[in-house]
Amino acid sequence: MSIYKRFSLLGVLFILMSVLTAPIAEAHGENGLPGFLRLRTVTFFDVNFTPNQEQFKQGDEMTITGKLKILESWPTNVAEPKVAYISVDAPGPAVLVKERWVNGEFTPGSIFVEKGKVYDFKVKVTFRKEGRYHVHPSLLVEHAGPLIGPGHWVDVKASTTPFTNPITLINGKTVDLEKYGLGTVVGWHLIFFAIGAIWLVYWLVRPVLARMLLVEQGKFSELVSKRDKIAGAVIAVVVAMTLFGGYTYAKTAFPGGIPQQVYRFAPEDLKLNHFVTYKVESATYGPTTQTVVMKVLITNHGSDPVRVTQFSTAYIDFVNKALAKPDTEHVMTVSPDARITPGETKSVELTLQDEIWQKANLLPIEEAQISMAGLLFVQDDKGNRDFGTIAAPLKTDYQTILEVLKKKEEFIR
Amino acid sequence: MSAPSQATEALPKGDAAREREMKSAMRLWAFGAVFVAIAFSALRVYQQVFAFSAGMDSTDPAYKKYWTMLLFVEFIALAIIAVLWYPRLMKKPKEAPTPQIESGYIMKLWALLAIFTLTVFFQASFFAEQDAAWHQTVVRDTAFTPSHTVLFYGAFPAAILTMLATFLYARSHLPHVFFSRGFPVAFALMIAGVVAEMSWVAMNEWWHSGPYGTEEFFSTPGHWGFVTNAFLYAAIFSVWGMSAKRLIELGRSDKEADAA
Amino acid sequence: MGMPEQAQKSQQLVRQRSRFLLDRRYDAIFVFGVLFIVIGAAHVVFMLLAGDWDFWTDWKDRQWWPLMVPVMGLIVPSALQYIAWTLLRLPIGATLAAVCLVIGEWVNRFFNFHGWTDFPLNFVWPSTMVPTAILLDVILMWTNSWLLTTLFGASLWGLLFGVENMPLIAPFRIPVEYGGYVLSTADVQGFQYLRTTTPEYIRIVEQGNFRAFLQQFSTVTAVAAAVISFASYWFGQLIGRVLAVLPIGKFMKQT
Repeated sequence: MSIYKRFSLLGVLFILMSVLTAPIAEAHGENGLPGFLRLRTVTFFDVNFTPNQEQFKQGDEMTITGKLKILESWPTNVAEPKVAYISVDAPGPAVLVKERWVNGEFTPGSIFVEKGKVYDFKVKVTFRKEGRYHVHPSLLVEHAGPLIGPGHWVDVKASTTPFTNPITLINGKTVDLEKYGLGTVVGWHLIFFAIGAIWLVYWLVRPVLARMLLVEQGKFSELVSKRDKIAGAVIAVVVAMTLFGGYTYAKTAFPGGIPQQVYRFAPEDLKLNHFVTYKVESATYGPTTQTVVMKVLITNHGSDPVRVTQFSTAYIDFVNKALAKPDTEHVMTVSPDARITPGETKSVELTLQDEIWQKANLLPIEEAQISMAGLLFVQDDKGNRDFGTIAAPLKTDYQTILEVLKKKEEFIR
Repeated sequence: MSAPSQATEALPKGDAAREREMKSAMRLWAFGAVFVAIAFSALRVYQQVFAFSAGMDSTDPAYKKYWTMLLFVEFIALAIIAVLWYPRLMKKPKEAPTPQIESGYIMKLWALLAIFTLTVFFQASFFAEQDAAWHQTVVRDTAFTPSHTVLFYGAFPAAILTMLATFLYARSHLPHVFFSRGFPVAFALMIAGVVAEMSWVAMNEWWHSGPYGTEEFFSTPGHWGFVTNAFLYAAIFSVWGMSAKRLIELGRSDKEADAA
Repeated sequence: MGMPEQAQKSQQLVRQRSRFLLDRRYDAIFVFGVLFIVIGAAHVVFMLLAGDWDFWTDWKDRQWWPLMVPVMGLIVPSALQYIAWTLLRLPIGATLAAVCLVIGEWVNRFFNFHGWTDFPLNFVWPSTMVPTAILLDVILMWTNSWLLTTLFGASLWGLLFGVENMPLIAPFRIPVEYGGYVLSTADVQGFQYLRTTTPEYIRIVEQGNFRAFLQQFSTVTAVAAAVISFASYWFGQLIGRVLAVLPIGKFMKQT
């Protein structure tokens, strides 16, 4: 018996493990996406969460607005972007998506997209589940999967009343979508299940395995008697009647049903006034200092002088250090930071030194693709803004790669 | 139907040894089933507590603490069970069993099969479909998500462990039934089934790393290996069938023994 | 339960020949094992071949759901029907598989889809195939012929899937006006209840390009499902025959 005791001890251990207190650290999943997939596919910018706060109650609403550009630098090893779906990324149905607007149009489903185009989105969510979690806007592209925008922490407190999700059907009835139709589903499942169970029990109350002997002797008529055949007929009639009942019930209780609706369209293009063009001259990455340096030729085709304000990649905004506010998270140095006059072409060096490259696993140097892409923003004094894609492979010198790899190995050891 | 009670009445004396074997088999069945149920329920509770709080980002230190740790706990626990349990199953009985005792051995074999089927329930039904639900909460970021950690590295090896237990018992206690004329095809298929299910995990992860596995679509070729391997589980009916046929034989020889 | 005289006689014979088999403890442990292995096998086979149409209401359409689910869902019931009928002459194999599948699915949807990731149950309920499974078993019992069971049973399996699931899906086909569009209630569920890796474009459903004579969408699908069910019925038979019954008493030669 001692072995059983040892086993029970193991079981107790398992249970003990599961009642340990919950950890404090909380996170979300985007760091697992390959770096190049985040940097080179889509850039989210101007993302706002309204109301911009952390504390919410169940049933409260939040609107996520923003823009995204499907970059021209879309990697060739990822399927061409054709069909996409704008959504949010949260721990499952912790939030309800109530509205989705793309370029000013209400969007019930997926959209057709093209490389190089900009999409303006607005997603309204309702908090359904209590807890602290991250909410991101996201773009899912067919065969490329989910691509995620900047996140926002929310802390949703339980509401005193149970959560409901009322919706008005076309027949005028208002129902709670949290449990609408569930009674019907469970009821019919139980009816069918009961008939099935009766048929099984009818056979299984008799000796089961002893039948094998008679099967061996070929005494089939004793295993399935006339009485059984009649029972079979009865149950078949019951099944037929139930099916007819179900059909009639469905037709009378829920008339006027329609199949699933698929609305897919290409959103109307946004009117964008481009007056600046870019050309990347060189781009380097120093892994030891986590510094990306990009030399960009900027040509101003507009009528006012412009200044570099921001570089955005994936879900991160790097603001020109000279323009940054104290709470700006990521900054870059622009040199020379002088205005580019109309008609002028100027070479500007952008230095992006930030821990995020490695912390968020954006530029892992042992990967097949180390390159940088994103949107560079300029603005004139009147407040007119323009942006364009800059993309380039990153040059890294061999010596620093060796150093980083060595460090990693030491760490593992 | 009153047949069972009549059968019990008809038992000749001297069947106490058989009753002991039968009772021990029933105990093994009850204990094994309860143990498997409790172990997997505990894992399910663990998921409930730690999946949303620590299981959503594989680069997070809390993830390593709560989920990578669980992976090792699972492997170690399974290894301990194997080390403690297998030698007992492999121990051959001292003397050739009487028909009565052998029928008890068959009951024990079926108890082991019953425990195996319960692990299959957790492997192929409960935690398998659960994975579809979990993929709706985060983007795919690692092969060791909270659902995979329990499914692929807990339930899958548990099915191998219990299947091998059944096999070892059959080899030590019922060799004349299952190993008289070579290796039984039934067990070959069963073992191939559990091992191939586990191996397909590697193919599954490879598939999902490619361009067709980024969204969560369950009816995808990358998953079909799990289906074909599960078909091999049908061979469990051969194991049952062979032992039931043996029970019929034993009934005959026992009858003859009684007459003599 | 009273028994006909003849049956009582053979019962006596069984008792003489094998009193071990009459010990119902074997039956109990056998049925326990069968239940769980069938829940596992039926569920995993079905979920990985047609599960997506079964998980979400907004996948349960008129073109693919009544085709994929019955066709893929017939494999294990057919195999088990063969096993139960050949080894034990029990006409319950298909019913058992269908009932087990429903049990496995509900346990999952309740404890995992609902209990863990918090989807409302009315979005993630499973389809049922129990009524047609009973018909399949009864037809086999009456005809004792695999061919006739294929022709009548498997075809009814495909034909009636839509009918047996009609009362389940009906509430979710009611239209809703949403954001200026007319959507079905199921579409609204899919729109609102967030799935991070199942975007709308990935669902394989009727998209309006399914042209059928006289608009008989469901009939066209049902007939197609009935015909393809013949094939999946025999695929299941193959598994039952080759993997479950044939290996009884077979050995690989040891060198």
